[in-house]
Amino acid sequence: MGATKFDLNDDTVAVVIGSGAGGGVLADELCQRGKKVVCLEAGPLLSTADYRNDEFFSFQQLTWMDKRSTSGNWSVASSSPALPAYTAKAVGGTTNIWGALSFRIQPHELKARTTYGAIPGAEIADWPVNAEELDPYWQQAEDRMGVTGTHGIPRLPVTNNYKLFDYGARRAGYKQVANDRHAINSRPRDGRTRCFQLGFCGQGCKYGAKWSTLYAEIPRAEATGRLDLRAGCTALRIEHDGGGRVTGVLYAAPDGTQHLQRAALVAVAGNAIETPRLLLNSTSGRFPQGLANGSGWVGRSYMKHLNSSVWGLFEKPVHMNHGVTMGGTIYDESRFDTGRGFVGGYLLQAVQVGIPFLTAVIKPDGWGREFTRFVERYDHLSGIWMNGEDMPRAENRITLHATEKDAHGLPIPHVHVDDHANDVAMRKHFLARAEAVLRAAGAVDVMRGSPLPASHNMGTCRMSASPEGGVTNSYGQTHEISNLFVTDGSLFPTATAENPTQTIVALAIRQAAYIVKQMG
Amino acid sequence: MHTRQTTVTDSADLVPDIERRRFLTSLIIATAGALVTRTAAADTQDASSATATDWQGVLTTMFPHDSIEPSLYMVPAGALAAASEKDPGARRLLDDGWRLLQQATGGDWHGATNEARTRAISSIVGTPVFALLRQTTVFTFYGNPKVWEAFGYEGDAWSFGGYVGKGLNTIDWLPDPPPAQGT
Repeated sequence: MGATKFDLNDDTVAVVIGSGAGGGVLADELCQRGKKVVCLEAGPLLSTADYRNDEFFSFQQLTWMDKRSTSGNWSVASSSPALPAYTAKAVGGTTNIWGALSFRIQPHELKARTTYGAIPGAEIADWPVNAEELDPYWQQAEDRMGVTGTHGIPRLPVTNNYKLFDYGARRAGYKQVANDRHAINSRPRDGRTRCFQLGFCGQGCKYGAKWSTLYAEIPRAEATGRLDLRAGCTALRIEHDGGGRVTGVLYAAPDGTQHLQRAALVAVAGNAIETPRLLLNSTSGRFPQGLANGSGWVGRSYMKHLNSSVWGLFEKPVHMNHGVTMGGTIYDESRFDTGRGFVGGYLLQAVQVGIPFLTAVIKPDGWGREFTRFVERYDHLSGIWMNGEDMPRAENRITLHATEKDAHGLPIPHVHVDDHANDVAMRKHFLARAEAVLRAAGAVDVMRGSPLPASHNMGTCRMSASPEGGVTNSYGQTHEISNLFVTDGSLFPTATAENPTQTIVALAIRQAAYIVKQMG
Repeated sequence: MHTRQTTVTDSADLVPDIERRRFLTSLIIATAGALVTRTAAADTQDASSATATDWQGVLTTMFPHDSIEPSLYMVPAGALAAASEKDPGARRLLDDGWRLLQQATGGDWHGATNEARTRAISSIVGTPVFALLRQTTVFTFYGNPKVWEAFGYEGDAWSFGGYVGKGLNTIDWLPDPPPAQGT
């Protein structure tokens, strides 16, 4: 960490909670614009030298393992009850382990309520910001992240897994298939080297070719002398004054001692489970439901994308692990087309995992010949992943556990999810289409994977045009407290079909400009 | 800096064998502890415990791989037996599981056909002991580089610098994709 240290009583600093795609980018943007920032990160500061090409090791090294509880009829509540989400706990947040597929959201998806109409059992909303307004920020995000196929950045080379995926997709009738939109350097860029195709994107990129705030934004912000990064520091509570403005953040240092950092403003970017948890844990006489929760939306409308996977077994070797984790994308099914029996859409993405993850998480209950005959022909397998729009439901939500407390004595988060009929229909459609693509490429057999704990967590502090409809305005500024911001996927009113990171980054850049303009 | 303490299974064989075994035993005990709270207390007074060799047979039935050297199943099997010796909770769970498997094969697991053994395994799917057997196998068998090698998984790619020019695009049984549009 850098040498910059601000005093606990310095109330001119911005406190950013979290250092991932949202917090890391916001901290950098504010520092570049002359603001002083204290960034509280619950996880440790690691480097690319600490990463290992080892799925089990990295899972233990990087995953946010703090205990959570679950309920609802979604399969994760039974397959992974204590670990409902797969996100990272380290400086750089989930950008350490992300697959690096970077998209814009389609214009019609930002107008989901207008496009889809009313959906019973779902709180579909239009985003309070449209594609035209987001365009310049998406462009900046693509440039910053080095997204292939944009800004003249070449695509990554074709891998075995992509070659097979592309061939099967076109034979199955798909037209929009591309090995593009990787936030992974295809050539040296931004002071970082190119991708050497280790095939361990999810374990932290040892070359630093994949974009991560750990080695892109954080060092750049530190170089300004205006970033005080405090790793291993867990935010416990946000304090406010009699006027209803936030004044600082109480946090636990690595040695367990508690400190109050005063602040001019606070931005919460702890991912969509911890962000609402912190607001809900910050109750007071004035805010008995938690901060910024007068509308009751904090923690509600939790979304996590519909994920699933199908694995094809081929007669000839594939070697899917030779190259990037996420190989490429079929876009055709992300269209709006209710003729398929559901609203919203999904992306199909070429994917690979190693034998540890294949046996531990893709088939968490597999056994017998029907399981082992796939595993033992590992080098003849190829996978397709689903990224689909799940429905925003008020009762799918993060709440505080009634009795269980964490090491700091605070209630652990409880995650409740019931699948919507639209979710069930979309997943069924994907399973059939992914199998069709694999068969078209020559698969002699297929195996379905289980839905996994989510890495895309969204919706729990949603943006809304009116204060009654959500938690923040389109800049992530809470409706109730003008110097309290949210800067992560919690802001998303709907999940959309696209992987969320690039839009989290775009919203953080837009928020930084707004903060500087509003607050001087 | 604030680097987190990590205790993990190290599948890259960097941990000395004895440390590895000690870790596996504690992992199984911890897993058993979490699982055993979910099961009714078993009456284990008369149960005789399964040996490592017995568990090897069970795991070979659960996860059959004809091409795998049988001794590789001894890694999880031995760890189960060691955990059973060391920890009453693990022992109770494993004894209970072994008794269920014996009952399901008419009291003669060793004399049962492979089909009968497979049916016996089916009868314990969803139980805590099944989860313990499976998790132990995933970590110590499917996490074993010797098993990876047999199935064509290379694991670490950092040691040889990644797959660029070394197996990235080797499928010669399919045509190349059409050229990308744009950039």
